[in-house]
Amino acid sequence: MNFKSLKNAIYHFFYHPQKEQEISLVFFRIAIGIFCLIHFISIWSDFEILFGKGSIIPWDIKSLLLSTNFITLSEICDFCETCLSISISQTLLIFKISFVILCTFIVFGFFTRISALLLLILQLSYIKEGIGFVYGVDNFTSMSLTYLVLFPNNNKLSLQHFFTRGKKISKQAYLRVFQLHVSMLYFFSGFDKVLGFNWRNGEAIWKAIHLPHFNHDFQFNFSWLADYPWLVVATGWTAVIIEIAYPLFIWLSFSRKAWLLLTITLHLGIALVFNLYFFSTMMLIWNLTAFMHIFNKKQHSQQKIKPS
Amino acid sequence: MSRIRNLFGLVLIGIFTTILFIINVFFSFDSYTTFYNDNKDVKKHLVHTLSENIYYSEPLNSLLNYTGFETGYGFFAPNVSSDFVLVFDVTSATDSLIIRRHFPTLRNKESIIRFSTFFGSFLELLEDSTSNFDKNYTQIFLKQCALDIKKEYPEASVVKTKLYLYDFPTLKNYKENSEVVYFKISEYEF
Repeated sequence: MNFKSLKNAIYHFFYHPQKEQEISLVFFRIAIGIFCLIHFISIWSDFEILFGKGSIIPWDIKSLLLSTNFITLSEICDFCETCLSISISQTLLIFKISFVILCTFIVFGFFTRISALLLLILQLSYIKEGIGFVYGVDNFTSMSLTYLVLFPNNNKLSLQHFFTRGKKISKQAYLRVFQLHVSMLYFFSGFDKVLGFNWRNGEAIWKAIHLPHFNHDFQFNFSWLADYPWLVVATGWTAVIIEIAYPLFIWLSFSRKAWLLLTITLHLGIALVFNLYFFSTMMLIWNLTAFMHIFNKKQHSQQKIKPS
Repeated sequence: MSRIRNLFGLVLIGIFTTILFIINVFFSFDSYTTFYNDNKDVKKHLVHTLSENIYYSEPLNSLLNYTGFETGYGFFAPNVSSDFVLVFDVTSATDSLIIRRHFPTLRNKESIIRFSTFFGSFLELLEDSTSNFDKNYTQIFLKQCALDIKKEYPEASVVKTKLYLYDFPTLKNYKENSEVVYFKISEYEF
């Protein structure tokens, strides 16, 4: 392959417009909006005890762990109390209502980029301060909101598009970046696992399914697996292979559907056994956004739209 | 014009994916050395040092922090961390047990998951080099939990707070001994 054909291939990969893939970013916007809304509402009544002034970890102690200068929830409350004479409880209520409104704006595609940016600021203000009570899903939420700020996603099913018909631009490059990110994510997730000897001998998966704070909803009894240790080893290796080989098999046309289905199954398994519903849902959203178009029968009929 | 824009876009995409790759290389090295090499004096691999320097360089690190991209993706890797169990025994003035609790009052399942994520920081207590800050931070957390529980029971006098390391038998040993062992890590009365 000479330089010119390589250059053309790269251009084609990132910029050749495919209309069917436009819906992916619209799906991402709506799904992330709904996700953020439900995830936030799921801790609504405990928000104070986790992140508010009456938190288990006091605000001044939390601030000792802050590594970067963020606008924190405690600073927002202090500002509102001292400068605007709004009590902390009122500020928290306004904060929560604003969060919900911004999620709704994103779902309906109403100034999505600005809404996502404001929502990101609000989200970071409490998760960076409440560092002890956050987990992987919060990082994925922040990244998703960043992507919503960067990606154009108002061309369909959005209020903004209804009122102001903007010019159509190709989403191909944005989707490609997202696909590369998802591929890299799974590769490193699998790679890090295979480095651990406990993942290779089945002990990691055995330990994970018996952790005390998981598996409460369905309370599966996995003790029978001790009679078939090879099954545990095989399950661990299956998870590792699904992840580490994701960047290969998701891009090969003959295996991509199967690999997407395997990955979805993996996350459904995580949801069922570990009861990490929000984390699993987030990963499903990312997978579907990146590769849902492969289920579209018309994917080969590439309709021309104006390239950016 | 469109061609220049596309070229500029490609450069940005290249920078972005390279940064993502470097972050992941750093986290892979970091989690690997943390798991296999407890000795902090061991010389780091050149790639580890390079990726670490890039990751912590400013303004990149701040940018990553502000966007959520500062994370690695080795979920449960390279090892599944040990977990802990908290026991709060609420006792009366006559030292009789009023109630045994494991969490402060949290109304939602998601809140319990969030609360449990704090338990990861208890791992610091198992290390010889635990700083006073970590010890004090943990103690404040336990005290706050105990006091939060205590205020729900007017007759409560003391909340005996115990932190246990949860040790489930390994797959290899399970058939010989299937009993879960709880190692007491610390105990306080609030």
